[in-house]
Amino acid sequence: MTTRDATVSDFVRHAVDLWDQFWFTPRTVETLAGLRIFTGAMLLYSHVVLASDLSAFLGPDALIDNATSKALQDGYYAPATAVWSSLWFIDSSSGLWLHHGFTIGVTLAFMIGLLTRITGVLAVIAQWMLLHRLFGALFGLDQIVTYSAMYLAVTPCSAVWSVDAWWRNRQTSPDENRSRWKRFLFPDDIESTSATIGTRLLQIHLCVIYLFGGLAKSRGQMWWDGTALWYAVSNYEYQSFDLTFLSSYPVLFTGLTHVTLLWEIFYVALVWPKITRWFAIGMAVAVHGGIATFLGMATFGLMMIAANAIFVSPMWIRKWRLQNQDALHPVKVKRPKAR
Amino acid sequence: MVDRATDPQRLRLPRYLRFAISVLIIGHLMAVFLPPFAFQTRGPRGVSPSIMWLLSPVRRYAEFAYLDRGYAFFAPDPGPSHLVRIDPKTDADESPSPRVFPNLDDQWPRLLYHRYFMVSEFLSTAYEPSLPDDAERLIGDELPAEEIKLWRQSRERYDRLIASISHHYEAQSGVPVNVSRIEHRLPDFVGYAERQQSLTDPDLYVVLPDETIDVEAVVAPMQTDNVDRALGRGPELIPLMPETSGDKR
Repeated sequence: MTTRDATVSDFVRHAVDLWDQFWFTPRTVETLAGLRIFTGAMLLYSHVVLASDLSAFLGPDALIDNATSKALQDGYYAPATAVWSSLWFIDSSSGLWLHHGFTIGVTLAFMIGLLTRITGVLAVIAQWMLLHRLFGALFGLDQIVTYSAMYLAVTPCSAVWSVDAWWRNRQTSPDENRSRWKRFLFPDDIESTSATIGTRLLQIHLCVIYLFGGLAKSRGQMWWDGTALWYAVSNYEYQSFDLTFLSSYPVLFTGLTHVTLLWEIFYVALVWPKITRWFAIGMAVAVHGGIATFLGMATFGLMMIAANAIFVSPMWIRKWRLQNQDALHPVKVKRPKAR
Repeated sequence: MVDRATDPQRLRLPRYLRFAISVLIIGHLMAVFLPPFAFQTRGPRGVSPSIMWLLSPVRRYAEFAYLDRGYAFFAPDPGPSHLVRIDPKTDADESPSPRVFPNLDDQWPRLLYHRYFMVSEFLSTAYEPSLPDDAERLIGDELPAEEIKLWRQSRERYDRLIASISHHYEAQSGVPVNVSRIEHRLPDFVGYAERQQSLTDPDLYVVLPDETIDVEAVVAPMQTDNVDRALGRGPELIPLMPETSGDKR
């Protein structure tokens, strides 16, 4: 083997090791469990709000009726897509309520962590059915809440703070060997590779959202001349708090516009190094908190902040959790070595 | 004794499994990254062929899993809002009064209001002026027949949305209705600071007309930019996705 071959071989081996380390180093689930509760609650809220005016969005008399919704996506007016929804074919009111009741039920179970391995997948499938049917009535909240639920559904996110965990602790002693399916359905509170995979997928997806969100803005003139923020806050239909006094402070709103654009484009570079991570996440809290408070999209803003919490190390939460649990009663959790 | 279920060594996946999962991860990441990339590469002639080629193996998965989004929130520039006005087509004394959506007085909580808001924006995005019946004869060979067919399809799509919204309100009120689009324009900050014009000033609301395409303007200099301008639309002749995901959060 020549020196050059050895160098290439070392490089490839090193790259594979880094890939393995990034994707397959097991981690605990505290961050995911917290996100499961928040995502489940947001999804549930969205379904309940829809239920308050169900016939306006689902069924044959909806604003966009069943046949139109299907025609918009099945190739009638544009190239066909792989989109499909069971809700296209339900015309009866009782059928719609049954479908939506099922959606609410599995989402509630996912939120509280009841048979989460099953209800998580069902909640995501039910959400896809709704999304494909609600074509034309969707916005950013629907995207981020769906992605979050999707990634959580492949993780053992019910290992803590869930009905599954309560049931597991009630039924088994810490040293008991459990069957494979029981460990799958009622996961142990231990480090897991799938927790890492779900975490990484959501982290990368967030980076993609911000990168292309920023690049799309960079094609506009207002994001460069600094007036975009003014035109966002002066939009009456979005406004939930009047910020039009900003018209007297162009230095302020143009500055905020520039910072927002640069943060969004460079989020992908700022969020991975520990030294800049807190700046990236702090900006996310500020920007999305502003959207939640002033632009009438509390649900979207809060969900984006919650999704950013995926960058919080579960070990931090675990330390805090174990300290508190020790204080309350002797624990049943396994203590992984700190990394 | 080490518990087999919790033994850290046992948590490490075998190499073949790591390889299989890695292939799935790469496929999924392609489905995450390429749709917004394709969205940004869209031009008058459609999406960049190289990106479409890369996207093709995962396109259907991305569509079904709702990953085919552009993430162009408030981009490229924040624009005016669009509302929908519903007018009963009757003079009867007890006819329902005109309605506009979205409306915070009618739709609560805010999330419900926002769903109505997105429908009104979607209708506005879907708008296409109609083509004259003899457009093919007037245009002749200047434009491919496929292009004209696409325009007609886009207009049919808009007409179908209007019909659906009309049916919704007719089913509620029992009277025929007329659906129109309203643009709520944004004041410039200099003018706003000087005049303190109310954001709900009637001058800022404009009823958008439903027009027929000026064929002569289309065929004059057959350049794509002029075609788009004559149609009053952006570069969306060959949409990647039926929903122009986009400029609203």
